[in-house]
Amino acid sequence: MQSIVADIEQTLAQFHPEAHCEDTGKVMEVGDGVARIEGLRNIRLNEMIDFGNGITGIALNLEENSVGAVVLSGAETVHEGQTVRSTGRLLEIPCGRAMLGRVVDSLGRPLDGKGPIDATEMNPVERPAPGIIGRQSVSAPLQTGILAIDAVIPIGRGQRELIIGDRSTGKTTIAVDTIINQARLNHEAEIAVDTKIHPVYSVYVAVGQRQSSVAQVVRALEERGALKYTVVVAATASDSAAMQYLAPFSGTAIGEWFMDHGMDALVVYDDLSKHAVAYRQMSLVLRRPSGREAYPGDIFYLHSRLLERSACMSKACGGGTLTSLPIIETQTGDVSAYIPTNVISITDGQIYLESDLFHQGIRPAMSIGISVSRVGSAAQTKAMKAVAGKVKLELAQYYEMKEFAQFGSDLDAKTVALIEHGKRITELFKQVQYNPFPVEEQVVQLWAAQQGFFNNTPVEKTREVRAKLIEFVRMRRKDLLKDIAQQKQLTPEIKKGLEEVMAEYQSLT
Amino acid sequence: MRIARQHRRNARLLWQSVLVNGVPDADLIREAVQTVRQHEGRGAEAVLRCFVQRLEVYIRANRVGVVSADRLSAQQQEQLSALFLETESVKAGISFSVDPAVIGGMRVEKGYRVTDLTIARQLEILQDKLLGK
Repeated sequence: MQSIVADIEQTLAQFHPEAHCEDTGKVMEVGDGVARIEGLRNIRLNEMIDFGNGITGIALNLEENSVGAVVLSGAETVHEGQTVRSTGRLLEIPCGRAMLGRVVDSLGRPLDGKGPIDATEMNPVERPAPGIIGRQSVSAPLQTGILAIDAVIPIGRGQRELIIGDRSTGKTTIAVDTIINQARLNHEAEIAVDTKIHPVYSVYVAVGQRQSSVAQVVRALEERGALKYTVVVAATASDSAAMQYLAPFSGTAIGEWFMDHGMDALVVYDDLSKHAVAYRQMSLVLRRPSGREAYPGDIFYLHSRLLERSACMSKACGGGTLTSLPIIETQTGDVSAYIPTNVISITDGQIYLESDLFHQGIRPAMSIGISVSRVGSAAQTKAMKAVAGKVKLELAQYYEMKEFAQFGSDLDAKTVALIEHGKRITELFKQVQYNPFPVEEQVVQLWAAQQGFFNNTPVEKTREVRAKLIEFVRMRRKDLLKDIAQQKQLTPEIKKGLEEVMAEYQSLT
Repeated sequence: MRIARQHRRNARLLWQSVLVNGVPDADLIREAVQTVRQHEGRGAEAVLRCFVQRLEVYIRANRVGVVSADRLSAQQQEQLSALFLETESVKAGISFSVDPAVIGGMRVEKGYRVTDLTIARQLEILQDKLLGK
């Protein structure tokens, strides 16, 4: 109590009354989360407006005689004739390590009931993307732990890889598995006190999702020890369009703090389709001219300026990275719709998930043929490159030959072997949710497949045999896995070790 | 009544025609209104409505209002008026009003630009400082 009194007395002693000049305005009309304000003659675009009682807004439309502002929260208490003030500040969000493990809204306010966030730094929600000179090529891999992605569509740190597909095809699962794998690697690096491994901190941005879905994701992260390396920014379906519009930018601002401090961060936007819808709603209420599908004319710029903030910075600029995994939901597989084509043209590749594959039991339901990573093998370790280099070609040949096999025609031995090999690769690519593979185990699996280890295994038993093989290698030759992880390439000694362990396993089974 | 873009354009042109050195002239305004009213039809009414809106916005943006906790004497009001006329280009008149809620001091509102020297505002700022805002 005495310290509180002392604080108050100190504040009073340091207080000097002074004249306060400010721009004010009057609310002329308010509705649908948007207020039209007269006055505020010197306000700037995206400047924060104080409506009083803790309610803030952002000036988005600067017109001749009025200002159109979106009210961020509490719009129902704003009334006509109310006086508002400009703040002279842009919207900022708290950031830093204190945000890790927390669930916040688009303004950085906690939603998880764990008390206030002790963040000491603030980042602007909107910020220009890093320039060309400050960037460098993507070279370090971001291990998702999903074999199909790390082998065929590798993602690098600083890349933007789109995850696109219809509803319920496993888009969020891929993103969550990636976050869980980063947490696993971070945890292992902490235990081993390995300073060579750069941890990746994750930001999961939920836009327009059901609150139950967000709660499910938070629980999954928490149960697997991933939440402590993650920040969840939630603007759910019950939040205003303005909050849903801001959420991805807020998440990016949080991720940029890590990038600016030379660290690596991952941002997942789930999903940008709902983000576009929220922006459309806001723009229509602001009476902005509408274009194709009633989206405003700058809908492309909305996503391009967001995704361009993800980068791989050069050593001179700190060497930090910000990787993005934007998610887009398509309708009936239409990737040529307006918003999907926009985001496809912005990102550095896409992972396309198909409903047909999902229902056939191929999960992740990734279409190898039309998924692409424009960074490619530059984001793979040498070990993975060595074993995964031919996989995409083999699968492409398999899909082509599979069509012939359906006609029941007689096939030569080579074609039959190709088809059988393709079936087993497809089985290997199936993976259980929340069960990412470390990269060394992925290398072992693919090396075994390339050496024909699974050729005599029935297709439906492939995954079972895979699990047993991995368990065997973990128990008998843990040093091999460690060598692959540390050296990141298949040296002759490692190859010999792999041959020995395969032979040993086959002799025992 | 539906107000079309053309009505707003015409109202803007009409407004520009009544300005003398950037300040609307009362005689020109009367003349303009008379001329428009001579035209029949809804178009004239729409243009007049937009014109009046512009005039109202101008008045609100350019009037000076002084708010004090207690009524200022005639001499004080004269001194303030003279000061404003010297230092500010007051184009839409000066008004004086009383609001006990300000407690003390005064608040000068020139259009939407507010210079607040009231005790109430200082207390608000102090409260924000104590709350760490």
